[in-house]
Amino acid sequence: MFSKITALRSANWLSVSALFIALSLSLPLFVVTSSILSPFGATWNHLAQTVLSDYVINSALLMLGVAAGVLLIGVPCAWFTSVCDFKGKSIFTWALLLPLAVPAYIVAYTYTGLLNFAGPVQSFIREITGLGYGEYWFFEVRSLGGATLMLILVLYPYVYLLARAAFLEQSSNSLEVCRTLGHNRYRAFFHLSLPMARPAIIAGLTLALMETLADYGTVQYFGISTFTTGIFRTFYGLGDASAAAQLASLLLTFVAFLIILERYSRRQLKYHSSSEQRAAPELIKLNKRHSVYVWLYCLTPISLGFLIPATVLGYWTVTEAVFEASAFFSLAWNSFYLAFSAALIAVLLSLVLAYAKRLQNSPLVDFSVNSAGLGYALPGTIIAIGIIIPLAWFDHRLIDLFERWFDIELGLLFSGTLFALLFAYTVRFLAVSLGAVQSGLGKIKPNIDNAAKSLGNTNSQVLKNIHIPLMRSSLLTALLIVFVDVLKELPATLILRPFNFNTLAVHAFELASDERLIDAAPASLMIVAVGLLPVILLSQSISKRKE
Amino acid sequence: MNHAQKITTALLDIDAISVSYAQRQVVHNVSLQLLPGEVGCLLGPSGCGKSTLLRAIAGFESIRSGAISLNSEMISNPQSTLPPEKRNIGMVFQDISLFPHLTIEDNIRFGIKHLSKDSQFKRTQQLLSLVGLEDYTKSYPHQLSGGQQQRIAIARALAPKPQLILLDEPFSGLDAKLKESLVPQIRSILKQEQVSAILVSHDQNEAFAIADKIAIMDRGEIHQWDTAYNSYHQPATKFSASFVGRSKFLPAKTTCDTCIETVLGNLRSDEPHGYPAQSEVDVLVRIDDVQHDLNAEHRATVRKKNFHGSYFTYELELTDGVTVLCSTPAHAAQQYEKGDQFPLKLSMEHLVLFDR
Repeated sequence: MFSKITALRSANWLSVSALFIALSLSLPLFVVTSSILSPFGATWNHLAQTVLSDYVINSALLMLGVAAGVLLIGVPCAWFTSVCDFKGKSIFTWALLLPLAVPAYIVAYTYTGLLNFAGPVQSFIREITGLGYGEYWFFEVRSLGGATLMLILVLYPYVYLLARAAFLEQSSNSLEVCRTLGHNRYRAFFHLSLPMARPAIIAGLTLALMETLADYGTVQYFGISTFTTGIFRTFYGLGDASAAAQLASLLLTFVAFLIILERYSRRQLKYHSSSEQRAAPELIKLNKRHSVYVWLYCLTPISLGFLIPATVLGYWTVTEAVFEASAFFSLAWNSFYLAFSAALIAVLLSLVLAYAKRLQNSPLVDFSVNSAGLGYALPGTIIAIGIIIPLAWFDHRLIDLFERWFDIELGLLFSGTLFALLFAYTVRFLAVSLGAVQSGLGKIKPNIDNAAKSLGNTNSQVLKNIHIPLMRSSLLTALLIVFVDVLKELPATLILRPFNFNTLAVHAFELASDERLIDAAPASLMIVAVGLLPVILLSQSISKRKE
Repeated sequence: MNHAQKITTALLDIDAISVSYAQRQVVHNVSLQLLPGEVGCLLGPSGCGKSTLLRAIAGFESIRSGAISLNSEMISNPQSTLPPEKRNIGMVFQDISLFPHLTIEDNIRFGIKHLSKDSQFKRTQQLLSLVGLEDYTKSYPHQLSGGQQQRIAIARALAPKPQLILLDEPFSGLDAKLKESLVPQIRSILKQEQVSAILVSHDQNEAFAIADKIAIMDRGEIHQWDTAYNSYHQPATKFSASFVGRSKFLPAKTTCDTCIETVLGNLRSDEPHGYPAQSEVDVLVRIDDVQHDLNAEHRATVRKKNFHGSYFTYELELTDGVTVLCSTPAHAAQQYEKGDQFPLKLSMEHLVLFDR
């Protein structure tokens, strides 16, 4: 009649698994950080004397520019679409998210093709003015300023999203308190709304800056020396893995600063948001003239970040691009099964972590969950370097061993195969799926489990009857987001892909680097199209929340 | 009641159990017996361990010492805990916890899937009409109001015909008006289903309205397990005296087997009060024991006055720091303000004394 409580035993098993997952996923971070302890060699000295200051200065300038830009676009747009009322607001609300679908490097190729000397814009100017080469000034896209602009155009939605959510959460109560104290709506914005939304805005900003630091495609294509391009050059050009890792660890200090800032503002976020029932504040109705200003303000980033690049890519694909169907489909297939496998792995590991935390909320499990989710802040280059060094070492030991003992010639089992790539993707994107799975699981209150048990369901029946149906949409969301993120990922794929293995992103990058911008369009368009899926999902969840 | 008789008649027998979270003991050495068909209530302030005791009965918590038996079968002891899904005990949770992805009908059927389709349907219809929500078969939980959800949660727990149903603060999320109509409804539903029940509450009105027997709990202990009438009129401890009803303690001295002396005069009880003469004791004075009487010989100073619509309550100071409560109809001709002298007399049916 008695059955020992098995839940506790499975909780223990889960927390051991969670710890194992966390330790494995922290391997790259550990390798890169510990590279500081190894001796700084000749390559490092060379770097320090020549290009290191460029890396630091350019990366810092890039971050500064992007920070200013995303705030300038993200915050006002968020305010317009949350507090004001104007015609077309609902369209702008989701359309402002569209640039999220476009990777920065693809925007960069598109604008280069559009704005370089041979491109349609300058050709048109020459045609109507009759001026020739060098006789007029034109904005040089392939510059630090250009790279900053490209990154702003695709990264502002992070700030927009979080700021908008914060503005919407602000209760009419506090706003009304502010007005009874003698502030009008506009002063209330600066004295109340903006300070209250600050933690959310900063959290969005740190996400945008993490992406900025992680960017490789744009800065490489524009020939700007930043940390990520430097790490690549040191690794491939100079062939010095340990110096590359040391460079990566320096980049890591920038990242660490952002992580701390983000965690801090997220904590603040908890205090700043109220859980009480609230009435939606009365919207500010804009007159026609103000509406037009707001339209222009919101339309600019949407057009520059999505409409123009997507149209141009579509046009190139249809008209001029050299397109081989069979080669293209094999690329797409590579991308798809890789992204799908990575998504599946990430979601499965997230499930283990999330259930471990639900069943046993011990400090050890907490630590595991937190450290397993840290990879989202790490640039792909850092993760790739942190994976290739230990895996290559391990492979070579294995090859030696097999040669000596069994006389078998072994290839690179881990470092040269998809294993390394999947490993890197899991490290980088686990946080994304973990977030979705945890929020799904969080919605199933513990008493729902208890209710099912008091009605005679065993643990596995609770899983089948309650958890799986309730979690289905969260799991699909997690799969989709990781899938798309992997599809867009460039730097880690470039470093870790097996010899002659190409994906859509790598293909587009290679063609663009060979100045075959137009031929890169079909692959780029495909990436953008798939990238739209999570954006649609996101905009749906935003409009649902409004109801 | 002798021991053997208790075992054969009690549906639920809780025998000297303790429950701990980590190092902290939240339920100490608690015993109670519930008879078949009885509705019991665990009444106490928040944090008194009543919800933990309920969860131990349900099987969600293991016990540190003692034993719990249901129908003379051991279901919990310190060595082992029969899992909740094997206890045939229904439970209704404070946060209601209907399954959000299932219709009302499927929620109720959840615990009776092993029955034939036909009997599932019959049972569901029967319960829906019992709780008065026949029209909501195909609705989802979020489409129902709080009170409707609560009734569905009770129907869901009743569906498998449990021997015992546990309700954890089932009315705490509802507004006062709704509570007033729902509480007697739930009692009649439980009685019609002839199911034994234990509910947890911190509200004595709720407890009086629904329960046959009340366990008054504080700091992990049961002070009294008795009928509502007895809990009010014969409180076993000072805590249960002060927790149930509005009352104060008046210092007194015993003068004989049945009589005491207070500042408001000498009082006499029908039965011996059990204290030797000349003992210093406290006598319980309920708000309804004190009466406003213009001809009374005693006066007290009004310290507080509260308006309750149909009546006033006064807090009256007799001597330094000793107060009693009194209520008067709102339409009474005589009104007193803070600081006024209030004429009063005691009119007590029986004496309840405690050690000072």
